[in-house]
Amino acid sequence: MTNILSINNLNVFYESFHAVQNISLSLNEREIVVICGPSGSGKSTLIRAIAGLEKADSGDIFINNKLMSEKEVFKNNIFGMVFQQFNLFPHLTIIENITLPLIKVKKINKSESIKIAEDVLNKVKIIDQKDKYPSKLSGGQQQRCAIARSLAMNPKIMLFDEPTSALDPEMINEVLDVMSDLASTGMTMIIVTHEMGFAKKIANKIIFMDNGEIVESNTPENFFTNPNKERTKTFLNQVLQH
Amino acid sequence: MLDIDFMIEILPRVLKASLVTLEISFLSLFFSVFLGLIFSIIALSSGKLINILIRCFVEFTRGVPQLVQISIIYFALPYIGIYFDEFWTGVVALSFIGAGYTIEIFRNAVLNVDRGQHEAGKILGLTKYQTLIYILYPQIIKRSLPPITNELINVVKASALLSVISVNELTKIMNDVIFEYFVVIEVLLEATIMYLLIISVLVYISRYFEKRLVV
Ligand SMILES: Nc1ncnc2c1ncn2[C@@H]1O[C@H](COP(=O)(O)OP(=O)(O)OP(=O)(O)O)[C@@H](O)[C@H]1O
Ligand SMILES: [Mg+2]
Repeated sequence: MTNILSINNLNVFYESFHAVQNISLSLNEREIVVICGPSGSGKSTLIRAIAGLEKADSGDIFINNKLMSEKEVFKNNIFGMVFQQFNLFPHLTIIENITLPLIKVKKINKSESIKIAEDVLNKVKIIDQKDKYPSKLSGGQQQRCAIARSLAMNPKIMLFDEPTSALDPEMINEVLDVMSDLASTGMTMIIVTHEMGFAKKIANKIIFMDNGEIVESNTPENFFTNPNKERTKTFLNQVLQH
Repeated sequence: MLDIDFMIEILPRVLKASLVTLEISFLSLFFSVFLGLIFSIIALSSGKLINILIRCFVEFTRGVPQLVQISIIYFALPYIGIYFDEFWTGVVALSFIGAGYTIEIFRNAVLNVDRGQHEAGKILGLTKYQTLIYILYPQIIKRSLPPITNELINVVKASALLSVISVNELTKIMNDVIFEYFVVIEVLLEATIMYLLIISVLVYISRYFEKRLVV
């Protein structure tokens, strides 16, 4: 098992508010970590700090045991990120959303990038939508396109921040299915989600956060049936009630 | 009663002057949009020092009376060895005045694009500059059109000030005609109608484009 990501004592402050507190986390290749926790517990802040979208006030992030500058991390597409709000480019068609970064960042020529784009669109099953604008697609289709766009850049690690929270219930599964497919190809993933059934199936490790700290980090089996912390039990009772 | 015959008699001169006003307005707007695009991109992708310099320029064009700015350009250009005729001096002056506004229009529009768009560009590996050019600017064209149209109206009105440096635009010719014939009401009325006509046509064109743009 090769270590792909190692986070040491990461801290993020908003002014004097300590949103992410001394978090350490390690991830092997092909591993899937699910992060859960109540609203405001710092899940987004953590995953965004890992991605480089939020500035960490202290702590180190090692990728393949190497410290990398923020610029290198972005330029080399270490992370792909899928947002709650999709963040597709509204002025570009579905396929252009995918080819633009391939052409501009990876410097791949147009015809080759179209091939890559069609390939990932096939994987997420929206190839028939490729010439439409994002606003013409359903939420589930838009999110699948966003996943395809990230995937096309061939990232080492995929980050998901509540990818199904903005979706109508009937569209949640189509996105979770795509993520499961991705998991079966061996993609390394960190997923913030409230979908506990999905977490149980897909995760190698589940992390429970509260107040900016990791309260518990456990295997899915133990996490759901035999959690270490009282606080985890309370949380599980709350979310599993529904 | 209005002297309609007189109004028709001076119409060719007034129309010719209106054309000059229209030309100056179009050219000035074109250059101020051009300058606004360039300098807002520079501001958004540069550090503090450059931003302070651009800020100073913006504050200058907004704070100093336009008449003063026109005079400064009129006297300053020859001083630094640039000789333009009155027409082009006027265009330069109005372009700079307009740029002070367009820079801010574009800059604010970009900053108001949803943060997720900036972040998606970043995480995909696009540079700041690429994100601006390929992601953000294409999205602000439509929403920038209404404020740009307001700016256009301002340019048309500000062009009247160029009469002080003897540009043969509508206001200058209007004054000339008044002093030639000592007729006031008819001339004022005709000039007013021309200004309103020019502005209506321009606003109509702008609305047309706004409706046709998708994003
Ligand atoms: N830009 C910001 N400025 C100030 N405070 C912030 C900012 N972003 C987040 N916070 C605060 O930091 C804390 C953690 O926020 P974060 O978004 O990481 O929580 P979360 O676990 O993702 O919650 P949710 O489940 O609602 O998405 C919250 O208390 C939030 O109010
Ligand atoms: Mg969140």
